[in-house]
Amino acid sequence: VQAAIAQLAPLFQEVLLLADIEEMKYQEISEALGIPMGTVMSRLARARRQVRDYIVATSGRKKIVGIRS
Amino acid sequence: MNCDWREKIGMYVDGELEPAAEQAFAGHLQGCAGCSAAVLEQQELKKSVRLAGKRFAAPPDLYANVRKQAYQPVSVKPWWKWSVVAAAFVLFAVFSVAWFSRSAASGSADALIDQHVTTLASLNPVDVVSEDRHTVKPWYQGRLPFTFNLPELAKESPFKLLGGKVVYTHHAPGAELLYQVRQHKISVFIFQARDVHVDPSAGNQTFVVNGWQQGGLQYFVVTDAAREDADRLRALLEEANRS
Repeated sequence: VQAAIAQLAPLFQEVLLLADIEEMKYQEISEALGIPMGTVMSRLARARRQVRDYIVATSGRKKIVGIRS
Repeated sequence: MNCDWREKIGMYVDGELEPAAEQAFAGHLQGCAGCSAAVLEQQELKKSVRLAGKRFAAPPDLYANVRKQAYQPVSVKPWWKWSVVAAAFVLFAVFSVAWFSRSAASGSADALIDQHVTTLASLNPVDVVSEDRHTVKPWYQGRLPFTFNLPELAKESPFKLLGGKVVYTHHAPGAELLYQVRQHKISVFIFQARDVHVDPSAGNQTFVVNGWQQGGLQYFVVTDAAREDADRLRALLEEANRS
């Protein structure tokens, strides 16, 4: 999972880290980064999709439920 | 999965839906296996990111950028006053960080050398005595909040694992592994990544300190053997912990 986060572009990485690790709300991220809330949501969705795809591609799993970090 | 609710899954998992919408979505999950599976997957992913993120070393400028943008003034009049203040602040910050990093780095290197020497002077240098990495690594389970891999050493390898123990530096627990190369001892320290960096060529006239970060962990090789030996052991450790 760490490798999956590391390979994200900084734009996606920052939104993902702020949402999932800092547990900031969309509105807070939007204000902190100075971007619209819709952009926060789309970047977050894309970041998660990329993390998921990376894990699936590197582990050969079809699902990520129960994966270790 | 073709479902009108699909777009809401991220918001639901992040707790961003209005109470009424959240209740409606929860009701929908009762009868939609596709959405339920997707929610479960997103929740697991979020949890994994949160756990991995604690060990993930974010780019140092990431949070700084966030803070900078969060507190950016809306109006800057007169602009040159703010420019002078900003320039002075940046200069101060740069010098402070440089000074702090330098003293922190040299302090860390000295602390690690001291720990290495203390270990060598001890009658019981390690708490788990074994040449088998499959004995040493599991010994750390429950003793450290992280894990790592140890390299498999070939019979003809000049390095020999002697064992390991738990050490503390800067109020944080870490692993100290003791290796031998010829008649020299090598300590390998492993901690969770912090903002203290040791110059890769640090050390003094007697000891070599070789430090690097990998996979959210910080590694240091400390020895009085040749720098090439430290570099070779580092390469073996890097290889073993490559994911």
